[in-house]
Amino acid sequence: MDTDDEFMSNVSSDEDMIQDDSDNEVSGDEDFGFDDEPDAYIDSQKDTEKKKAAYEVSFKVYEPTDVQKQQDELVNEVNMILDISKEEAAILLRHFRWNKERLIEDYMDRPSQVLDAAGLSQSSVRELKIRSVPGFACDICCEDDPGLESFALKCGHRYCVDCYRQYLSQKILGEGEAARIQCPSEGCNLIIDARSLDILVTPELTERYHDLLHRTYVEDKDTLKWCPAPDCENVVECAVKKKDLDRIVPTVACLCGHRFCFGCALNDHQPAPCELVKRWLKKCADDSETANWISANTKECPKCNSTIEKNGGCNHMTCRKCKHEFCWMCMGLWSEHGTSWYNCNRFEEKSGVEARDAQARSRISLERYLHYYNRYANHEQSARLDKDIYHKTEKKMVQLQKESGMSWIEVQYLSAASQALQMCRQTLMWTYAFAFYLARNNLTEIFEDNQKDLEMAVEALSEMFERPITSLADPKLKVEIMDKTSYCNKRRVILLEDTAQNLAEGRWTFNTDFSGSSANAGTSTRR
Amino acid sequence: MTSNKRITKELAECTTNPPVGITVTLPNDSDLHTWHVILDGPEDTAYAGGKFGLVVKLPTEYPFKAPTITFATRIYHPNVTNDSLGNICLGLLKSDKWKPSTRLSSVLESVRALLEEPQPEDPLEARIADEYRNDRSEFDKNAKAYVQSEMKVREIQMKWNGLEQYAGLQDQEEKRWFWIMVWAIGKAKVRPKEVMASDDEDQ
Ligand SMILES: [Zn+2]
Ligand SMILES: [Zn+2]
Ligand SMILES: [Zn+2]
Ligand SMILES: [Zn+2]
Ligand SMILES: [Zn+2]
Ligand SMILES: [Zn+2]
Repeated sequence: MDTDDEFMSNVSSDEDMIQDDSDNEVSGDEDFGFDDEPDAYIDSQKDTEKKKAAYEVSFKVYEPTDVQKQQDELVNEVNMILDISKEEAAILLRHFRWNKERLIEDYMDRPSQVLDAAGLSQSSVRELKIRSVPGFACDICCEDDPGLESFALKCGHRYCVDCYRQYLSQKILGEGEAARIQCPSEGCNLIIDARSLDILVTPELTERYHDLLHRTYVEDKDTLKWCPAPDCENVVECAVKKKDLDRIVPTVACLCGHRFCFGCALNDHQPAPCELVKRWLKKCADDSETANWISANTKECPKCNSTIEKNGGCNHMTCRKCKHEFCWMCMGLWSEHGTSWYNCNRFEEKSGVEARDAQARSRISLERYLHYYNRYANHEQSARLDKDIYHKTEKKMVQLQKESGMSWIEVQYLSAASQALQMCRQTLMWTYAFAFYLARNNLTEIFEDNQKDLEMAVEALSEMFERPITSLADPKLKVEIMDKTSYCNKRRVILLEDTAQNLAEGRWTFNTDFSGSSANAGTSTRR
Repeated sequence: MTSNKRITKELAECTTNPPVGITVTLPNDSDLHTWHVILDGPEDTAYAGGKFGLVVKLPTEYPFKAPTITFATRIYHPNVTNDSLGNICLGLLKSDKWKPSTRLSSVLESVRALLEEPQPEDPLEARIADEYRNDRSEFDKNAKAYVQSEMKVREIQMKWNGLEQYAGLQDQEEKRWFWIMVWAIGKAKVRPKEVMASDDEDQ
């Protein structure tokens, strides 16, 4: 009966999991049933589940106390099931990288091997105490003074107290190690226990030790990552595995507002997959000299040659001197940019006629790179400039509110617009890195159309943003900005969704091989 | 300094009862933290007949931090960088493997063991490792050629031995002669920089 019951309960829980998977793809979250997440998190989670778009991944954000609670719960569980001390349970869990199921299974099968491999002593009845042993000589420092105080871990390896202290502080402070500090004896893999540590070192060192232990929990689990934002101590949980990274770009958002890639911890780089991003950033770093002139803030007016400085994110330039309107990116007529003639994002591959010799070919390949780099760098720069303008505007709006009596809520639309601009430019930026590596086919055309639509929407919004403060109070412009904002967001989702779907189904053709041995590539070229 | 007693004891052990094929000297009597070691190339290997200089540096935290060991003599080996740094990849010296109870004599023995049995799976010179795995006779030929040329370097070095104390030279004329000889050594297709390599290079 017992086994039958167990069998039945297993089946039902499996079924639950399958159902779970089918409606929201959250896996493994039954391990941590927290019902008290902050509201902001629940909202974003609900959104994700509702749409379940191809470009979105499920994730959870934990605050430091949640992380501690998870660890404690796992330790308590193992402590109860296996009837070992909490500390030993923690050491075993760390050894099994917090895989509770595997730990319990292995331990049931062959307990002594598991304890051995994890660095736990099986001779439990040794007294842990500092004392002086007659005739003792320390094998580390070679001191043999009578009365020399010494200590032995559970394995019995005895050294003088000073040597133990120096060893532990070298490990904890010097190397930032905690979970895997072994006995100082050559060949002994016993892991230092917290009780011995308490006897041997100062409370400050013990505190640092526990800090480090706390960190290893996150570092040991592949499904957890620290939010890389400076001063943020939150942890994000996401089930996307390393091997999936060529099929999905797992952007996650921390409670602190930072959006980053769970795969590589860089800032959000959708729609480009991690490996492509790595390659692109390396290329940009290698070719930085060639491309440096591009990030310059000034260019010459194509008509009258007077110097034009760019100080906002918008690419629509008007020469102060001759009033010529042109595009900052391609230097072409602006009048052609608002129409179906818009062709600014596309690189025209020149036909093979002039590409006969190697020199011409390398020139074309450089031009091609510069086309994409140009636009990539420009969106990065424009995002910064847009943000500057927003901060300036925000200040002025506060002033305006005082004077005109508008309420704060009424100007929130500007903040929403600014956020949309940032996000869309971040996406646009990476579409150019993505496009650089795309082989040309009809999918590319659709991609470029989406890119063009998003870019046009972004530039239009960016332009409205630069209007003088007084006209921003105009209710008509406000409605226009709100419309444009939601349009930009919509275009961004369309582009991301299309790209992510094709990526998941492996339909993109790249002109570079991203699969396989990127790690080996380094060594083989080094000669 | 707490570690001096340990180091003195280890040094005494290594000089009075040296491990096979290993000669330890202290280049500067007042500095226990720099050792010079001559390693005899093990018999029945491509390094047989060669003499390899090692510089062993003991950090102030020794034995709680691992020593660093570099080849002062150039060697053709998958696990030693084929440059004037002569860095070596040895598992037991890595910070997560090093144990303060490990003795230098056993470290030196494992360096010698690395000459007997290179570890091409964990290379510092990927090309040499490939060659070791796939074309052993070519590898042996190259490794032997290196031994020969390094022996020549040593020969010349012996000749100009007195000039190693360049730092101590006061006289301008003496210094001029020193550089002329360095140039002559360069002409002899050897590397004067390494001939002069001494323990004052920190890495
Ligand atoms: Zn001691
Ligand atoms: Zn031990
Ligand atoms: Zn954060
Ligand atoms: Zn990434
Ligand atoms: Zn002009
Ligand atoms: Zn343009």
